[in-house]
Amino acid sequence: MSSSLATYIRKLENEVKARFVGNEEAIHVAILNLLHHRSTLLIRAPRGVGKSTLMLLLLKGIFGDDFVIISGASEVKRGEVLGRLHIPSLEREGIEKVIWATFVKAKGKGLDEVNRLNPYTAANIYHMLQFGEVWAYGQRYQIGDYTLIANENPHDPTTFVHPPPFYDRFDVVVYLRPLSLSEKFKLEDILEKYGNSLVDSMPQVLSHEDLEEIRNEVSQVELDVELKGFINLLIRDLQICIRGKEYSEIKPPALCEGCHFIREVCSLIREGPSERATIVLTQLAKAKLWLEGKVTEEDILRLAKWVLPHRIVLAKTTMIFRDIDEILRRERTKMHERELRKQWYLLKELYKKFDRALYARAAEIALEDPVFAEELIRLEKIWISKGILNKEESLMHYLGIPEWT
Amino acid sequence: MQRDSFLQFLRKVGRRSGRIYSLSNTRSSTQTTASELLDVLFLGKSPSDHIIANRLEVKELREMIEELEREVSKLREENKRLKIILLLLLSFLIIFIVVVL
Repeated sequence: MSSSLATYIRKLENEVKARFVGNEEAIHVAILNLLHHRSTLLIRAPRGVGKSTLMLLLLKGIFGDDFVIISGASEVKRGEVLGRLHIPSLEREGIEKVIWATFVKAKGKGLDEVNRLNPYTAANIYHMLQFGEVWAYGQRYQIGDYTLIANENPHDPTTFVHPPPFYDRFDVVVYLRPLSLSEKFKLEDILEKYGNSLVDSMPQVLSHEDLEEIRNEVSQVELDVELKGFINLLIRDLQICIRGKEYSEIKPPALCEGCHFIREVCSLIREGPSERATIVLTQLAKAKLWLEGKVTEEDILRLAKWVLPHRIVLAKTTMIFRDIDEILRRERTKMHERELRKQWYLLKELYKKFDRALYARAAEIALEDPVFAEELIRLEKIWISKGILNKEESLMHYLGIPEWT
Repeated sequence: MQRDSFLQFLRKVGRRSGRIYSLSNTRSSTQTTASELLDVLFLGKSPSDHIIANRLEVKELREMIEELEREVSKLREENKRLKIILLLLLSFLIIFIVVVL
């Protein structure tokens, strides 16, 4: 880690926090999320809580005045977002030459009220977020690295309903909360200090080149294999279903009736997170390690709070943050129990060779942990094919898991 | 190898767990963990079961076993004393009965 580059990031965070009251954890996560390539952030909040201000503060801190914002509106034109045809070339030479929009070319991009974007624009942005390129009139523009910060009010009545995969492309979604009484006083003091122009007073703390250098360094940070395992386990816990909910027409909780794992976290989740959740959590963990010199399993659970809510559909939602908090609390206990059971050591031994006594012990443990069961079943399939184990005595048979899974 | 990093994870996590011990192969139960010894004693695990323990847990268990052994020898002493007292009382009772009757 270059200490001067880390100083820039700390300064950026301090400058934003000096102008934005409360929501400290959300700001910290937003800053960490800036430290990987093609970073995307969505700020969600009700009206007047400061989502556009936070977006502008972050963009201004990195790009000065060199960024482009598209205001979400159903009438936003294709030319404004993507590009338009160069009419003289078309008229004189019959060539379709595209003049790409400044939004496409800008390194710093903002999307105000993203839920108001029309489906056509949203689809183009979706493609850009997915592949780092845009298409117009049959021509492609490779965008390279960028930073995109968007905001929306989820209760906005004029909302277009974008499909869940669109939101999945946002690395992190931060939810801002309204200010408490003491924070309102603090806001008044800050407004007075900066002459009511919070955004105008925000200095450019680093350049995009600095940010690129930081992103390169962060991408090379090596995470400990145990921490990687922790991230993978956490996400797999939220995805797994021994009854294959991803392809089932019936979803939890109805699908879970009579299932051995009905008390597990999996029964609370209708649709689990995509693999992007793993990628983003890994990127955030690397960023934290780069910036602060350490990252723990507890940090991963705290970061997951910002990575999961827009990627999970729960069987029953009351308040998404509270529900996710509860799931993460259960995950914390589950990880501890796994540690006590020493189950991964058993699995390692079973990978080396089949041992009936060890297998019996592992099968017992598997009945308490669907992710462990899934890995044990993988081994069972190999043993069954080699004739070491009878299908009828396998865990797969006991749990009634079809062979194609 | 697709699963190399997974095996690396298993090895790294496994290193903390210690070694596998088979209860039937151990001459003394000092090679079991404290918690698993309790399992054996109170939950009826069979001696052919395998347990996994690390050095710290084995050390912890040794201390526990020593403590238990001290308790047991103390109880044995106590038991011996009680037996002698009971025997004496019984003798007195027999003598009393014989003399009185």
